[in-house]
Parts: sequence; C-alpha cells; structure tokens
Amino acid sequence: MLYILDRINKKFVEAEIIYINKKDAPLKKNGWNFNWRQLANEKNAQTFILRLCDTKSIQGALHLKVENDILIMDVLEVAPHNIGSQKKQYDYVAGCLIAFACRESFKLESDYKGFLTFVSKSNLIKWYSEKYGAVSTLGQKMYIDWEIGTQLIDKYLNRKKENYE
Amino acid sequence: MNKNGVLTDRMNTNSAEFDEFQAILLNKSRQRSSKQKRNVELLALKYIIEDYLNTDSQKEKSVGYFLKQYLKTLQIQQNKFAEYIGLKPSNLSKLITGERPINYNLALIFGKIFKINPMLWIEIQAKNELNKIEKEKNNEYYNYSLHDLISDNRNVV
Repeated sequence: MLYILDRINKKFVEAEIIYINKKDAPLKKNGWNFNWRQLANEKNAQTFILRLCDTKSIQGALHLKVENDILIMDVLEVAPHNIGSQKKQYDYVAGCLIAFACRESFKLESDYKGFLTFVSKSNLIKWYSEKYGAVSTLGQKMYIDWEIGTQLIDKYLNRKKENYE
Repeated sequence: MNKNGVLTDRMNTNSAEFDEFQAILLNKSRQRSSKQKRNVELLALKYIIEDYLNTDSQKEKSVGYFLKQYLKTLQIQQNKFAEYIGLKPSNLSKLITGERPINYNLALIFGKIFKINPMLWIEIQAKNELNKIEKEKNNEYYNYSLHDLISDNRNVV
C-alpha cells in the first residue's frame, strides 16, 4: 500500500504496484504511448503497474529487465492524464515507480545489487538528477545507487498517509 | 516533464557504451566499504521478508529459514551467534529448524542486530502458524460469520 496525491481533490489516495501479464496491460487506444502488451510478453523482464486501490485505474507503468546481471528500468510511463506538472491528475506516480524499481534492485544476486539503471530522455536528465538523486554517466545513461534508492523507498513507498497531510 | 508520458529511452545492451557503463557500475560497487556492502545485504534481506509477508502464494518459509539467511549472508557462525545472544547452541538449532518458536525477547534482539523491525519476526511466525491452522481446520472456520452472529436472536437485547 502506498499513497499518491489526487491533485484535483487535494487528498492522498491509496494505490498499489502490482505485477501484470499482457492481458492486464494498459492500451495504446487509451492514450498510452508504449505497446505494454508487447512489453509484458518480453522474456527476462517484468511489467508492473501502479493503480488506485479503489477504482483499479492505472496511473503508471514500469518495465524492468535484467541484462548482464544489471537491473534496467527499461520503460517508465505515466498515464496520459498524469502528464504535465500543472495538468496532471495524480502526483508521485513516477516517484513511487522509481522507488519500487530501486527496491527491486536489492534482489539481484550480483555485484550490481542496489543499483537501478536507466536511459533518461535527453530533456529529463536534470529532472532525474535533482528530483531523484540519479547520477548521469555516458550521455543519457543514469543510475541510482543504494543509499539514494533507500531514501526514495522510504519517501515514496513507506511513508504513512498521515505524514503527507 | 515530457509531452507524452514516457520518461525513459530503452537501454541498448549490445553496445560498447553499455559495456563501459557496466564497468563504471562495477567499479562503483567494488568501491563500497565492507560496512556499506553489509548494509546493502541487510536491506535486501529486509525487503525479502517484507515481500514474504505481503504475498499469499509463496511457499512457507520459517523464522529459522530467514535467520539462517542472515547468518549465512553475514558469515556469522551459529555457535558464535548463540553465545552472543545468550542462547544455548542447541536451542538456536531448534529455532533454525523450526522446532522452537521465536519469542518477543528474541524478536527484539534480532531486530536490533539485523536493523529490522522486531515485529517482522513475529509476523513471519504468526503468518505461518495461521496458514497451518487454517489448512488443518479449514472447514471449522467456515461456520463463523458476522451475519450469523448479528442475526442470532440470542444476541438481540
């Protein structure tokens, strides 16, 4: 159980991150950019969604894969209604999914335990760096190390509802 | 934020640049101090326990199983651990094999040593115990319901 902010009603709402298979994937016809059905079918990868606990409506999706013993946040997408800092309906969706991915990185049985890696969109490098403590290396390739990852986990996944209010 | 909701590009893992990226991470990983490595392992085990408690379908894992994982990961000998916490080695063995339950005192000690909420140790045991009883006496519990309770004339004042 975690909480995201409903910006319209100005209240925190219960949400959850769950593993999905292709039949539960968000669809392009509903405005999603990626073909999540196809992603959910990929080998050596797992697809998760963040959805509201009550209505089950999907707010964000995450595709994680392990290559060469490294955890890669290969695709991160927020729902069409959560785009834009002023227009989005729910806040903390990306933060919760990134924190979840950081937590998954601790399950690796390799030297890369605790590292979350990803390729930032070129215009988002500064955003990832300032908001989530990610480190930029080799162009758009970024990583979040375990200490920052733990802080994100505490901030986005472990805080109680009353701490937000 | 982007014009669309996609916040990442996909990683091309078949490239020299990815190899270089991996080498940088490996170097970072090897620069971690022993204490940092230990903390990473402790967090990993904590998350595994949390996931175990939050998932219904997993195969049963005892308190002893998780304790063994901690001792193995941290390379602590059972006898040394037993002595440190003031427990007979035979009693620690029984705890690890599941013959002896964990008590609140031990949960507090394990919590302090392994930097984990003591309640998690109690919850592992409670979850396993509840599952076991429910499986053994499943039919018995079907007979209880709030509806029956409040519609029972004996309970009407």
